[in-house]
Amino acid sequence: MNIFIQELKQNRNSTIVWAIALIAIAALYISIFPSIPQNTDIADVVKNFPESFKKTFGITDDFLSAFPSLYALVLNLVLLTGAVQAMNLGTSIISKEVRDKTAEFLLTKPVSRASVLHQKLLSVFTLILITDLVFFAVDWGLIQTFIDDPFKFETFFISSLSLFFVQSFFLSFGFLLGTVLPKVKSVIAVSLPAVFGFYIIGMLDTVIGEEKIKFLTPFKLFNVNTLTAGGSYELRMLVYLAVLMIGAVLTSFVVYQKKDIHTI
Amino acid sequence: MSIIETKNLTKYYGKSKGIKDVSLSVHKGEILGFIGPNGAGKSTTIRILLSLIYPTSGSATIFGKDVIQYGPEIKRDIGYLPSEVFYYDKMRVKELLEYSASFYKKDCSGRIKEISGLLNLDLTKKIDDLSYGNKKKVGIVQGLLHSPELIFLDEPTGGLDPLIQKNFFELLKEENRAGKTIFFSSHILSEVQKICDRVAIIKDGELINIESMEHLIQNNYKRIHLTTKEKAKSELFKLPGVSDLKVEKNQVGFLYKGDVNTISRIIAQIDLVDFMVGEPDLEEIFMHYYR
Repeated sequence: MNIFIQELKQNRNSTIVWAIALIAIAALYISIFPSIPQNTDIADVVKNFPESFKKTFGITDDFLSAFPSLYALVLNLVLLTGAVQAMNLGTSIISKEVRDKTAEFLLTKPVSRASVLHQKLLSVFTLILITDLVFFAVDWGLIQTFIDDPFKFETFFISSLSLFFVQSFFLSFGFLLGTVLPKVKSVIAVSLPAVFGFYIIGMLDTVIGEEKIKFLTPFKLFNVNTLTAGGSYELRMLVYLAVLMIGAVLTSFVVYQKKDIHTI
Repeated sequence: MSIIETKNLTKYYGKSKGIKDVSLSVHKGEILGFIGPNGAGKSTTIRILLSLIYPTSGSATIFGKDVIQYGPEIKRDIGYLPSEVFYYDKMRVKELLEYSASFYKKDCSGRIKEISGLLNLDLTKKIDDLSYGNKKKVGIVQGLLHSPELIFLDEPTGGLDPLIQKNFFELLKEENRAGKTIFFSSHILSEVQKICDRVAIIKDGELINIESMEHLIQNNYKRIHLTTKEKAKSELFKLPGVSDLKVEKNQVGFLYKGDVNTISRIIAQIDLVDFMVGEPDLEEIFMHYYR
């Protein structure tokens, strides 16, 4: 498990930074919510926001007066940020060895390529899990502190779990790209277009259709507004997510076993 | 027993040839020099043996086991120093060596101390802050810290100062006396001459020759260059063993193979300003030795 431990150490600092970023986003919105004056004028303003704007950020008309609707907005932003973290981590974990030319060091040690992959995959999942647990704990604390009428823990937990699902998708997708692409020169150049590409696809739901869009982008696998209002996940969508992830990981393993490792 | 055995090993990178039909065997306890100019296929051969890349055709075994099928198992007893060393920049030397040691199921701390002491390597520095030569030393330590049975060296001396080079060669000889087999790839003939028992010569991806060091030295060419006071008569040098003769103004240059006494008597007849005997470079060896 030496590679696993090594990766946890190497990624410790960046994981702390990402966790802080996620918490900061949540803290900003949750802390100002109590001080938003509740009157009809503001509700009217929100109602008159352009539809496309509301759609982009997942805003509903009552997001300034009802906490579940505000939390849906918070989650949308957190999902997007968390997706970038996961995609970066997934893409870089294998590709960095080629980019930094350390693959030669690692792969001439008595360790199989499959073992390298599975230790690294396990390490990135652990890092995401740690990020999410820290985020959940602080987030729940913030809600308890600032919100007079917070929702049930169950609703909080189920809706926030969407972060882990979205990140798991991007982690596997990044992992696939990081192993399959011959050389990833810059992780950001791969991860940002991927994450924002999927996000933009998610905004086209009226064009593509509510039912089809679910299968096209992880951001629409579930409806965050439904979740924060006490709804739950569709089982078939979770199965679909699992199938995609397993497919990505298996493909990475098969391709990486046969890949030539070049130095230059 | 052969430690390394390759059969018709061939590697194409797309359409361009890496190596073709390389068949060689390395015996236990020998130091095999593997020489050839840059791009001849030295690194390609080593990288196939380490299963970093896969051959297009042919096969290779190390310790009698197929390098692809038993890669991880074989590598327990292999040490490798790549031609260009790259390590995790943010780590300290000590951390990197400990990480490297963690792959082998034995205690390597004594050996780390011993070798890095011999090479004068500071263990507390960050990898990023090291000079090229010092990174190379890290490479040597990480390649040898687990006392491997087979050591691959890919152009190992670049960046090392003469004193450290000497220590490094001593270390290799010591390992060799203890029965370790060494595969020494280089494009510097003198380096190979110093240490190797046998030499394999590779050119354009194909193995040209493999023979003992003694034989290679017996047949060795010298590059001789003279600066004379007056233009020398070129007839003087028309004797067996002289080739590539050029006489221009007061300059004479040629390759010589044969008894040095014969040639020194001839040179003694000339009024000299300067006199130089050197090793021909590898290209010249290839051109004249194997024509």
